[in-house]
Amino acid sequence: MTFYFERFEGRRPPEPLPKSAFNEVSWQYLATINLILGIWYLWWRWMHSLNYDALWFSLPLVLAESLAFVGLVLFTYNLWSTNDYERRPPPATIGDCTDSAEDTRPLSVDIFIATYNEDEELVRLSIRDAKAMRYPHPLTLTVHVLDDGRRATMRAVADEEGVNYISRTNNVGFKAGNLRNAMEQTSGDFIVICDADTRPFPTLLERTLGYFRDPDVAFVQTPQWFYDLPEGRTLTETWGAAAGAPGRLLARGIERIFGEIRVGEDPFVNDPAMFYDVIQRRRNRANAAFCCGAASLHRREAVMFVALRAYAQSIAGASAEKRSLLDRIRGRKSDPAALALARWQAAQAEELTPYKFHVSEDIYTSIVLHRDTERRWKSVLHPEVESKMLSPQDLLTWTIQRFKYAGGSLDIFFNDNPVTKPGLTLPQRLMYLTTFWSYLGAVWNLVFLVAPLIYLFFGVAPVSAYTSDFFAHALPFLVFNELAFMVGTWGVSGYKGKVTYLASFPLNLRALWAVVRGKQIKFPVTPKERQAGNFVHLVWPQLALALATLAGLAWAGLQVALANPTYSLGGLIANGFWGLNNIAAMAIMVRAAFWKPDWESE
Amino acid sequence: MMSFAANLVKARSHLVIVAGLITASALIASIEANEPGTLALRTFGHSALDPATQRAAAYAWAQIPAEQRTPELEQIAARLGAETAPAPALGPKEAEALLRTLAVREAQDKAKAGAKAKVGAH
Repeated sequence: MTFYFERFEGRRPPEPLPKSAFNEVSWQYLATINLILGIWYLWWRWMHSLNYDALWFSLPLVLAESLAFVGLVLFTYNLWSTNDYERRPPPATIGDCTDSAEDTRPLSVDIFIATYNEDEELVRLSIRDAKAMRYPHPLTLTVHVLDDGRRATMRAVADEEGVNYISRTNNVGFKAGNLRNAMEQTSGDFIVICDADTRPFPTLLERTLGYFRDPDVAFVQTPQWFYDLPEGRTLTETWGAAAGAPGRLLARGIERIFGEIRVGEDPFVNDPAMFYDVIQRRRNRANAAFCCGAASLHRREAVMFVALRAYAQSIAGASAEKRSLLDRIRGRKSDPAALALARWQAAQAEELTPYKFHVSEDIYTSIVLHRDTERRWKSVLHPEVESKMLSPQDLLTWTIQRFKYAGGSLDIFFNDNPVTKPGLTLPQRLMYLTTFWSYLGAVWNLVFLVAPLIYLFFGVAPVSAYTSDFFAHALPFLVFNELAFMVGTWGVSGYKGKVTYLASFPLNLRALWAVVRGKQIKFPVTPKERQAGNFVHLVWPQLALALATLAGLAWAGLQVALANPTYSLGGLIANGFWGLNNIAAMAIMVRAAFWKPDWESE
Repeated sequence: MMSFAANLVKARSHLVIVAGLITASALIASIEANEPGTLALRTFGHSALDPATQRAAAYAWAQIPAEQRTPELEQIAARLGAETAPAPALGPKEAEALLRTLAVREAQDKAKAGAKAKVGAH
């Protein structure tokens, strides 16, 4: 059997970003100036720039700007500095990883490969790579295929590969339930969580188990790396194919100035370097890196410890409710028999869930561990890539995945918010708030997308005037913002991620709306194969917005040319620049809807 | 490890945005420096003023004898598009237009002053 990704087998992951004291100080310097300028700008916006003739427009925009600025402050805090966790040599015995040094038993590690309906041959590749992991000391390594699809063919593959096959009679709790079922049937000291397509490198264990020498480390997350990202073609190749020698010549000139430009590269903006190598890695300093499921290692004791405590607490809570009910019915206080009955009933009703049954079980488990005030469990983001996996190959799959992330995070924010509940340290609260805030950002992003349209079509300005006074306040802030984040994320291209965040507003708003209405976010398995069909229906809001902005630009241009006093050239330039930025953002999503891989047309 | 040039290429979007922002601001500053609109005049072939005010400006310019036209006045006239506009004879229509324009200006100035006072009071 051949897979489309076989051609990418030879690809190697990028090295983590090098730590540079000069870079970090420069970033902190620029970021500080940026925040000061931001405050100055917002002060001016609130106090001196409001258009009192159109407060219905002016106020929402300045409010959106202020809320976005809060996000900027949080993000700056997140990115402030890189403090990688101390590397330690691979432990030889379990005693090296606990407080009981006299325990000289070799470590035992369970590899969980969770699957539901993925191709058995794809899972076989993951099994083989898992079996090939090396370790410098004796180690009991057991690979388990956790098949929620209950497939005889999957069992046959597991048997052929000589690994354990685990299944169950239902799909309660989906992936989290699958993991719980496996935990009940295994006993390794550490658990490596893999999805069906997660293919660990031989070095995974020898480079990461050392972190567990600190007995408080609960889990280690390694960066997820998609080795099948489309690399596109250079601009010279693309224009050369389309327009021959003139196109090639022009493109070469452009690339000489701006560097290599790749057309069709990573169309869904899946490259997770910004997330893992910058955002998550810099959370290490606050002990706030969170688990993302695949390619993470867990200390069984930690996961069970917090699960048992949560189980005990929920039984205690539920039994107290039942006891008080029984007491009221029977009119007796402190009846031991009633207490025992209530506890028994509560224990029957409650379930022990090492991994919370939630669409974002990974981040939820991280929060539960971080909130444990008695043990103060630690998490580690290991900077090197230690496995490879497959990326979504179509917009539908991408949308399902991102909707799950957004809905899951927002569900936690609204229903079990760790930022306001006790347990986390202040830095951890700020880091988690950064994540939640980014998803709430869909609301103010919508304002930013609609605002230029109001000016372009109706000539209503959100500021009193688009004069040099406006630019004198806005420009320094905007320029320093770009420069600060250029230095702060040096080595990673952030533009596509930034504009995709802006363009994902319909998806994030849908997730927000679902959570606010109390709808449960579903657990659909993200398909590993490319879905056929047309995906324009998924991007109609982006398409409509881009077209409306284009039409608005033409309309406002005409009005300025006709000297309509409602419009000004300054307003047209400011809103034109803003609108073009929005169109560029929408275009990435619209293009993704039409994208087809090279291998499909070959 | 990636070279500085390779990283700079990755960061080009930031630099392009910075360049765009500075260009946009320079354009606005240039427009404002010529307030209310020499650039607009050059770009679109007429003054940024509404037609009635422009006619008033053209009339005023036409009334100034050549020997009294200082460089500063010439600059003002150019800015207002008075040089290129036909100078009308001050008939009743022009007089009315001038009066009405001044009334609108006066009302706008009052509104602006009121808004500023409101903000100051808060």
